[in-house]
Amino acid sequence: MKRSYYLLCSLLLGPLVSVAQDKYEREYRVPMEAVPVMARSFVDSCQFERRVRWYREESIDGHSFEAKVKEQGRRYSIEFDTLGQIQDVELLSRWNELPALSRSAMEEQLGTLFNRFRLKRIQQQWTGTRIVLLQAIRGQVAAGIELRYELVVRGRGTDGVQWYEFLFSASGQEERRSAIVFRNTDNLDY
Amino acid sequence: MDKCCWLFLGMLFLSSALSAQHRYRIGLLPQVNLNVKLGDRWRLNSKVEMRPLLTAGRFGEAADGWQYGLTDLALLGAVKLSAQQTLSGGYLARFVGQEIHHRTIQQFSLVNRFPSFRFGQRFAADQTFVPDEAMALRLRYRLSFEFPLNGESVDPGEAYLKLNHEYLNSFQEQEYDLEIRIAPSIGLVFTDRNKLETGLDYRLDGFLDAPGRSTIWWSVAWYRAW
Repeated sequence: MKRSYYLLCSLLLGPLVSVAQDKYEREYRVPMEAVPVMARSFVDSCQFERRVRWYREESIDGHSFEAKVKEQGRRYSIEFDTLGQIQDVELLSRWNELPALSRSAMEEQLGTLFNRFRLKRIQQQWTGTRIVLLQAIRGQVAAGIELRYELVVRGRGTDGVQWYEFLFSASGQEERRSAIVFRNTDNLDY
Repeated sequence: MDKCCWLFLGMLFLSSALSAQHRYRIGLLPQVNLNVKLGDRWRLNSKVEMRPLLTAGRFGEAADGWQYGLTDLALLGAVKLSAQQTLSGGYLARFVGQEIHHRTIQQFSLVNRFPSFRFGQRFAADQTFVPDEAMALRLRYRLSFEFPLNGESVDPGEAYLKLNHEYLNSFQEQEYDLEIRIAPSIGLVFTDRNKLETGLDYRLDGFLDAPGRSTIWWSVAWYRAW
């Protein structure tokens, strides 16, 4: 019962605000049978104990499949192309889990863009070969992994408050920035 | 203790609702909700809502048949404080028979998005002015949950489940009343700015010191934004 109190409190009071991106994409749940065999076999190799949810994503860039799972308190999102080749692995993280040097480089860059900013979601993005990514998920040392950080930021600049999604390199250099547009909330406001 | 508390509340609710003196109303609740963007932060919201009653009465007694309930016309000005926070205020005219009731409205709404659902809160106050009656003040709090029925967000062409739960505290002269609403509905998103919702809207009021009244509306709401 305590857990439900915490859940209720976090719902009511928590500043845990995540966002919906300006998606020219559609994501929907698919059964495991609809997923390419290669993608399924990769996820099977990960030996997740918790249930894996499969999604298909359609966007102007093409189609992809995504496996989402929460394992040992960590939320993984594994993306594959339509042939089942792995694209990347994203892992929801805490700011203080990132190396101090990367954090300060990212903070410095964000500081030049905004008068004030708040980090809303932090994800590690891993790319690399199938074997390297599998080792990384299993918690083994994976030397060939390419690491980036995906940050969702609420920033106050001269034009007011805006939300952005940033992609930073492992050293904290900005690689990509895109503005986030929220879905219409009329049916929840009125 | 927690279980006992819920059991007690459930018994209280059931005993009120099943009492022979308990009044009921069943009707339709069609609503059109139009939103126009005025610049970067400002919005104009207008709402037309009707309440035709299909039947009404007391349990165990003969029921009244169909009757016209009322029509509401509302116009609210809104300012987006941030992507999730909206402050609105405006006026509602309620047409009941030959009378027009006037209502002023102030509200603050907040929408948070979680990985697989959206959660909205609305804090509202309104003041109703009816001829020959004291002003009625209501303080309202509403929780809304929106769950996609496919995927982790509601995309165009997809459906969602919405659950509203609201508490309305009414004050008029020295009297106080509490109304509780629970409204589950199914919605369909044609585009992000064009949605249709339908469902049941259950309302319980007048139960604090009387047998109370239950109202069940079958609601159909169209949300259109420009």
